[in-house]
Amino acid sequence: MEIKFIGSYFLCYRKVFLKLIMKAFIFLCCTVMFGLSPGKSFSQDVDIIIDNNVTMTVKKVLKLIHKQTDYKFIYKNALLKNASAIQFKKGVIKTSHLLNQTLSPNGLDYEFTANKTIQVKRKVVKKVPSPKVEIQYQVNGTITDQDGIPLAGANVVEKGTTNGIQTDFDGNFAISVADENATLVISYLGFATKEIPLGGQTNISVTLIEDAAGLDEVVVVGYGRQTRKTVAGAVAQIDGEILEDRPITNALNGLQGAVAGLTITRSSGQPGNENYQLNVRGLSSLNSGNEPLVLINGVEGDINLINPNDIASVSVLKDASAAIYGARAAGGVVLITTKSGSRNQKLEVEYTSNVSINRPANLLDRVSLREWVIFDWEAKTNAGANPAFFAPAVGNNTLEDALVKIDAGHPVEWKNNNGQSPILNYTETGWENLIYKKSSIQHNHNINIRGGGERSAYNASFGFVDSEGIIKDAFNNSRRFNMRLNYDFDLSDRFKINSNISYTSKKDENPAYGNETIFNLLNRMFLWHPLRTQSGQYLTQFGFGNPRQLADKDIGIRTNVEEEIRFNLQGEYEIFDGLKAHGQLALNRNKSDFDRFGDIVPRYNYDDTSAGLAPNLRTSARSYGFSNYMNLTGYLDYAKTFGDHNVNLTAGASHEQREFGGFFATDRGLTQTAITTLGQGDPALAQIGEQRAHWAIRSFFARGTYILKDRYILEGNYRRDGTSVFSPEQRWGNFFGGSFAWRASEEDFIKKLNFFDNLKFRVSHGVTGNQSLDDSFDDGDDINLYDYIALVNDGNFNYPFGDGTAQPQAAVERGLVTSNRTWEDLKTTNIGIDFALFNSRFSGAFDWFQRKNDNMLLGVVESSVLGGNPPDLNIGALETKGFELTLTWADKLASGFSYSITGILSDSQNTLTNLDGNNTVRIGLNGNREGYSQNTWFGYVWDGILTTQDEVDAYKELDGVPGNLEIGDARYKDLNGDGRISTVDEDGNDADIVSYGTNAPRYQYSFNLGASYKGFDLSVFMQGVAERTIFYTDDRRFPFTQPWWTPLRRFYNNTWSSDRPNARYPRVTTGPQRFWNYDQFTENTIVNGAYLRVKNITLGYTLPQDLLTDIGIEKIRLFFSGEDLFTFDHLDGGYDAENTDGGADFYPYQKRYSVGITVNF
Amino acid sequence: MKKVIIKNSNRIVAILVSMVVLGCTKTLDLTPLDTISDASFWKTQSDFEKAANAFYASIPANNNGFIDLNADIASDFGQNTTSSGNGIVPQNDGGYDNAYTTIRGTSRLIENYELATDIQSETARYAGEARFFRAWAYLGLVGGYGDVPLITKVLDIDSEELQAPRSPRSEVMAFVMADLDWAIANLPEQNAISATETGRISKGAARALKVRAGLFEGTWAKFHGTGDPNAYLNAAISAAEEIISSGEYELYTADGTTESYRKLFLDGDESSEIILSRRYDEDLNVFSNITRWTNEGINSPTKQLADMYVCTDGLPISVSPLFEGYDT
Repeated sequence: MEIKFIGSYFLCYRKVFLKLIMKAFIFLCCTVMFGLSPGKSFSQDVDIIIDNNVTMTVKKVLKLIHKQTDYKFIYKNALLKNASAIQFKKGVIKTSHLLNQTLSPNGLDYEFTANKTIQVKRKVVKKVPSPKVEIQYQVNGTITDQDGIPLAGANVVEKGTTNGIQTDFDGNFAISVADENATLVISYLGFATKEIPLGGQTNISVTLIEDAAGLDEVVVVGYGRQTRKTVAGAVAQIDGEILEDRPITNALNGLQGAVAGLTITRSSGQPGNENYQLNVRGLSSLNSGNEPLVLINGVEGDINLINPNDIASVSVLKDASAAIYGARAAGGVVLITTKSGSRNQKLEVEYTSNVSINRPANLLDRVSLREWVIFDWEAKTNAGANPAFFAPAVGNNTLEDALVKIDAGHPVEWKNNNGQSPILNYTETGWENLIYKKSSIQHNHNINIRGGGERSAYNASFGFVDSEGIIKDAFNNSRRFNMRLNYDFDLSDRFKINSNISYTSKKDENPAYGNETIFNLLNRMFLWHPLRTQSGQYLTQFGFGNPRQLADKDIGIRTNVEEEIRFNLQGEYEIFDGLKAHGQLALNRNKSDFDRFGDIVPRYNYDDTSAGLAPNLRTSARSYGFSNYMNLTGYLDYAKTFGDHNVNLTAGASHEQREFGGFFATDRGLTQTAITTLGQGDPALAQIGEQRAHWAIRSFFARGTYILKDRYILEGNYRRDGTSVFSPEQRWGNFFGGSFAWRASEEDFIKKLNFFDNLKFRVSHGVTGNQSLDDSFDDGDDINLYDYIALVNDGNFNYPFGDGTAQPQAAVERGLVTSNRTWEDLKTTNIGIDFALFNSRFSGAFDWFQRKNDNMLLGVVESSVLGGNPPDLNIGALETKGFELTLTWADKLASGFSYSITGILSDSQNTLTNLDGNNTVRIGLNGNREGYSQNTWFGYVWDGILTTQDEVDAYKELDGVPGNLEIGDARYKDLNGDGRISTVDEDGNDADIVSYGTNAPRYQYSFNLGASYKGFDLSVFMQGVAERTIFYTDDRRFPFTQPWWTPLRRFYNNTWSSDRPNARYPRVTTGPQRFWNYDQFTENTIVNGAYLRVKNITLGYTLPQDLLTDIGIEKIRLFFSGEDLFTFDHLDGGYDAENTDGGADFYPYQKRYSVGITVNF
Repeated sequence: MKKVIIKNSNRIVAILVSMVVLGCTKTLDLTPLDTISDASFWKTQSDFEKAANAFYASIPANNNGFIDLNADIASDFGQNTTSSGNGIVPQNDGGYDNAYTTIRGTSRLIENYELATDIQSETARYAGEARFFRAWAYLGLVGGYGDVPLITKVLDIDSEELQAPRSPRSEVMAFVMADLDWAIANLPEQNAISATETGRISKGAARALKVRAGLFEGTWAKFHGTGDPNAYLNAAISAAEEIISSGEYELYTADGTTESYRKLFLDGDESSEIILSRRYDEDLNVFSNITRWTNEGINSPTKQLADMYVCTDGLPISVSPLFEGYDT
């Protein structure tokens, strides 16, 4: 909440500038007349010392005052020429009195024009037009905020007139009104405007309440800013506050569930590499382009690298308002603005620190050793295989033999059997404890220095994050250092410059052969597989690598360093009143350096005989990547109000280009491990390669906004993009967007209801483009960077001509190209309502949207005689519909307790309306099936378990039913009664399959509860999904997918047998029937993916002000914060609800418990 | 200084904006930085050599137990679905797709050979290799399908030829023979191929393929009453005579009369009996899996194959007096 001074400063305290001043006088008069004339309030009514009894002219008095205070005076020389001198006695007199005494007798008056400037002018004598005396009612008062703190500079205006003043530093005002029943309108930025009908009162005290509806909030939109109350598009903005004081390392983690319509998912818990995916409003295309365009301060950037504490606001353009970004805006636009300093703010230093203890959540729940032995015996018996634990070599012929040994903790048994040494261990090795740490530490420090003077402001921040991974005794951590400097300054009164420089450096260390290798092995090991051989080497038996061995630090290391430097220079020049020119130059440079050394891994059997080396070569690899990006933008901005009409026009152009690539070098066959730099290995095995590419985009954009009477808003956007990616005939595209909004709450008939504090209806329609750009170096079906140019793949070809010493090369056509394809166009329509009731305590917004992608790139099937794969063409269609609802209740009670609750509900559903008949129907996940959503599950209908031999025989009569089914196996319905169990019948229609819903989350919701009272504050943030269908498709989806893998506990005693006739699942077996029983995607194996996760709980306490003033500290706040602490879901045993593909082999997410402190100096 | 900037700030802004607006549209015409474009390829002999190298991947390989299941000469360990009558005609055939991919690639090389007139003398050989492979691909197609669409140039996604009807086999085979004749005329003799290039298609290989093509089409014509059998059979005979009279090839005998035939693929793989072979090399990691497949019974010969061998007097077992019955 800043006090903004309208009007210009004129520093003048010499007669030399008087002429300039006189010209400006008229200008000054105008500003005065617009009702914002400051009153006669001295912020400091300083005592003036008069040394002696003296007679002074007015000028002398003014000079004296100026000398002893820093007030400056403006006056017309002529006025004071004939002023008489005044006599003063020695003593001390207040400045206000001194001026009154000096000026009044001379028919002069004074007035503040700016904080420290006083203008002397002729006293205006009010003329009495008629015998009737106009009685002026003097009204005094004080304006405070809810905490009782006076609001200085609040505007008090007599309604319907231009009679207004501003409050002084103590929040006091005195105004003369014509009518004792006049109404005063009191307003202040950031607070809800109040109208006080005087009703005869002459002394009022007014409390202003913070504007919960945020009508005056400044919203960042493309190439400009608008006020929330007149935003016509679906733009959601949240303050960077929600990212502060949380044990998060990545801003995206903190934004999960914060904005309606913005879905953020992660697929790994690895620190620094969670692989966040953003999505606005669901599916845009089957190809890429489902992520929004992310701009940091107007320039594209990577949110993963930004310091969350630097973010001031995040604004999401969800509908046609994104059209101003044209070809890359189909997935919406996310605008991130970083913090900047404020003018006239004294130096402030803020230090925040946060230490958190992280614990892995949701580890796999496998059966215990004893349970496994029983389960495995049953499975093998059911399969007709010979159940035995590597007997007879080890000597267990019955299940009881093995159980007795397990219960007794029998030592390891093994036999040396011609190099294949079967071994059985009767105690669990506890692999989880060998690999996972119980808890790991993460800490986070930030320093922010900000301040500003009259002509400049700065904000510098330094941040450091260090988080440990969850693998014990291994290289497993991620560190990031951020630095940012934002500096605004006014080169002149018309020319403002802003420069923003940031540097990020991130370093990750991971085990030599990767985290996935370790988890993969860990999740498949025998529970009892001993860690070491007889003599203490790492044991690798049964073809399993030893995950502990691969996690060890002496096997090698992978280091990944990423650096980013961003430079952003913006200039704003006011050409004349209302017309501004903006320019922006941005340069980004990214570098990444991936360094890997992996040693030879020896394998040993239990008897210490060698089982080979895997890998058998030491490898040292390095890959270096870079990206250089430049953005040059210029635009003109004209804003003008003519009475009831407000017009805002923006037009400009931009040019962006990016060049990126990298090279790699792999050195193999090093003979020692001390020096691992490149060049130490066998030159014949070395490999090198390089990739490099570039693109450019040239754009023209414009926006016009017309607001009538502050309640009818009409806006149009336009963008023309030209990209290097398409052929010259297809390269230019035009994108339009239009929106209309009606602030019904400003209409008289609504005001009469006295119910709505804010009511706005919005409608918009626009076209955005999806470049579907494949910015990587794969040869996918997506548009690649040189889409229309026929290329030749020239590379090594392994065919030995001659004696095979020379490596031949071959050149093949890299795919067919066409000049006929271009952007996908998404037409998006949005209808929305914003409202606020009950003094803006209850506010909300509802949006309904529809997006149609009418020319989606789709694979085309051509005759094989073409001799190659035809390129995808723009022939598909996709439609997405959904809604978003946000409701907030915020209130502050008289006792000082304030609280707020925000709920968000959003949903989107897509339908693939035209796939040109390219349908493959199968059970399981159907990625693309015409008429359904992407990723719809199809499966058979469960019909119970076969319990009698008659049932089995009858069922086997049907075609498609395996002939080896037995009692205890599954039965599925023959829905169409054609005597066959099949997916489709001969005509291609669905036969026995039904749809089970989609893999995509539906009805996503979140709650944000906040409360504060007397220095304590509490916030709880929860996020969840109400509906989602999951089928597990990983290696543990049913017991014994491979007979040697340990099953999950959720199946134990849950499978059919004659002792358990009511069990849920069919019988367990290692025979081929297990695929029939478990892999058919029915109600029997379906999983409910709905969940609610408490993402964050923060409890904070701000120490009382009085304790601190003597130390010289402004504010200290302590807080406890927990992340991902509780989850309510329907999943069991090792799967995490947020994991979108339902697999269990990923780096586990962590719960975080943290404590932190913020100190402001 | 400040005043200067202020005074000129109008101009500075104007320059900035105009830089963007008036900037060269040419900067949107970008070409790849790490990949050769087709327009800049086909300029030197080695370009054509590299393009020709790619076709060697289409020489039949034994990596995955390839056997000719349709000729009743070998069997894998299941029932032969063709002979048993249980076969289901598949909807797609990789062999058909691959053949046309080869045809496209070879046609591309040949078209570019015609255009690169200044280096035609050096590149003729590679055009010959391309014609060889194209002929071989069509031969396979005709053998499998009879009439097939005859595509003689590189097609585009909107070419009419994509909808071309099947051309009669006589046309296709005539095209095959023409390609082979051209190849024979432009390929080097076996002894002219240097040691580092061993394995490349030679004149003899093209002649040998012509022999096969002629024999196949001639016998088909003869027993199906189509076309001109004698033309094809005579072409086969004359091509075979050319091979014999060239003196390039002779039987491998280094392992003795009884062992040489068996050990041809083991010891004799570089001998002069080889007209064309598919090559493998341990150092380049190019392997064949034939030993595993044979071990597992996937490449088992049939009685039919055994019966096709002639006796030492050159007569089949049904005729020769030297054949003493299956028990011996």
